Amino acid sequence: MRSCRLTTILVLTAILVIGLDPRRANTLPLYARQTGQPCATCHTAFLELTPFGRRFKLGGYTLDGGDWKGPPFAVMLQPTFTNTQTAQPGGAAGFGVNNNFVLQQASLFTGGKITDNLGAFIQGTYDGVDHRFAWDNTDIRLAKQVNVDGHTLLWGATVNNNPTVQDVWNTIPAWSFPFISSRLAPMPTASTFIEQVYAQQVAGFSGYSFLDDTFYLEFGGYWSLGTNTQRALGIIPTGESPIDGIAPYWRVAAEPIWGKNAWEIGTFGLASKVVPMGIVGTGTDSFTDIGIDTQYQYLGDPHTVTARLAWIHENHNTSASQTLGLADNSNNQLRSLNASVSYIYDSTWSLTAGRVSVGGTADATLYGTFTGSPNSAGYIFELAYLPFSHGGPSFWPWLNFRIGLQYTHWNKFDGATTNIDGMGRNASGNNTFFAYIWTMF
Amino acid sequence: MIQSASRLARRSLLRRFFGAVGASTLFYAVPFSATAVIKISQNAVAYQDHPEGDKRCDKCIQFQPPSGCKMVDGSIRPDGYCRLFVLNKQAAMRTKALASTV
Repeated sequence: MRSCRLTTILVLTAILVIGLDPRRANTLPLYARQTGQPCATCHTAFLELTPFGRRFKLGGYTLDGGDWKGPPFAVMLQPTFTNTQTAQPGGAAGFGVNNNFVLQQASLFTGGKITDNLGAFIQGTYDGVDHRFAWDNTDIRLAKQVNVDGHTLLWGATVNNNPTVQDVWNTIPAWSFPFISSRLAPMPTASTFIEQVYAQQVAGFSGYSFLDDTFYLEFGGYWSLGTNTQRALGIIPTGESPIDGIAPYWRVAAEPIWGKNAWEIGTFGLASKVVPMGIVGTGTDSFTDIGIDTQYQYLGDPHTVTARLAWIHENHNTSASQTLGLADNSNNQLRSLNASVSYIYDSTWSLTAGRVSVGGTADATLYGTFTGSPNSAGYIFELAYLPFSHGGPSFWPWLNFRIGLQYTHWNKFDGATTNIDGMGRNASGNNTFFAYIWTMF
Repeated sequence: MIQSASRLARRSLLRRFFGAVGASTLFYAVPFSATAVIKISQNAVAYQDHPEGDKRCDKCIQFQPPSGCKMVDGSIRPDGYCRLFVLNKQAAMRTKALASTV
């Protein structure tokens, strides 16, 4: 069945590519080189997108304007330092108990414009914590623009590997604040399925339209990749709860722009049957995630302000898990909130404050927390410096850094404020100071 | 049983194949005026029909004389301006040289 799905993707891709304009671009320069524009054109402070950046992505990464003729690659490095308020017993993921330096990620990107209507974002990442290389976010899209009775309709299709990675607003899970987090700090146990649970474990296909530069509509589906395929792509499938069949994904949003203001309001969701821990024979669980989001941007010069809010409700039927002894309840709910505000000066300095929380029904077996509760809540503060957003040094104008200091304060962690693990550790013990030098070139 | 499963898989494959063919046919047979290159709307880049200080479209690397832009849709005035402005250094030097000659 899975080989059948893979065949479908290959057939579809082949048909689309064969049918494309035969005039191929000579190169695949990545976006800044491709467009001739500095980082600040697409990003208020990377990776948050401007209205232009969003439309560049929706247009299939095809817009050009630069004179770069070199190879279509870019590199990202993320050396980091992590300190938690209280040391982590036994160490953090094979590292020391505290004050850890690590090259958290090293990524190679390729993609950009392939033809006038086909483009890609393809990322491969070396994970410096797990010490392995795997495919990372991937979004290959075909887009076309038509004029119908005075209305502009941009429409297209995307093949990608992570629900919400194809989205263009920075409220949804794949691209929301914090844009970078420590891999060596404790994180809350519970999260909704749409919040990156299936990242890189699935393939998805969806069609989208963007009407009159304002109204966005997308519908598609995701299916789990076979374990052999995942292993071949560097993913370790152990412990996954694969999607049974196809999980529908939807996104509706509107973004009016007036003067220096852009305001988006929308909804998104993912629903699926799930094979708990991949164990067949006892039926399936199911979940429905429904999110609402809004983002406001004031795009002044040099002052920019962005406010983001996303709220997700998950209804999780865990009857199969209950039968298998993997859950106490036959049904659980989760609610997730992510709200943040950034002030950005001249695309160079960024100051952000954010609130994250997850809460829902207690289920000690499902979540594995000491209290049985999934509830966690905290604040995140970040100061970042991006010295080359308007253009890098003359020897390599596309070099940029995001040098950041981030502090996370936990009010509640895995259902408790004190003694969160039964061994006397408090939520505040997980408060994290995180420093990074996010480098792109 | 095996034969039946294989028939089902074949049927499913055929269904998906024809679905894919249908989708791509639809994509390429658009009955409306399609624009080959997708450009960005003037609204999304805060285009204005007057300069911003000494920043004006005809000094930008993306400007296409007499009234176009590589990136922004629609008619563009040489003395307009938008958020994408990147100084075309060669054009600026030519203008400067002309000015000094005069």
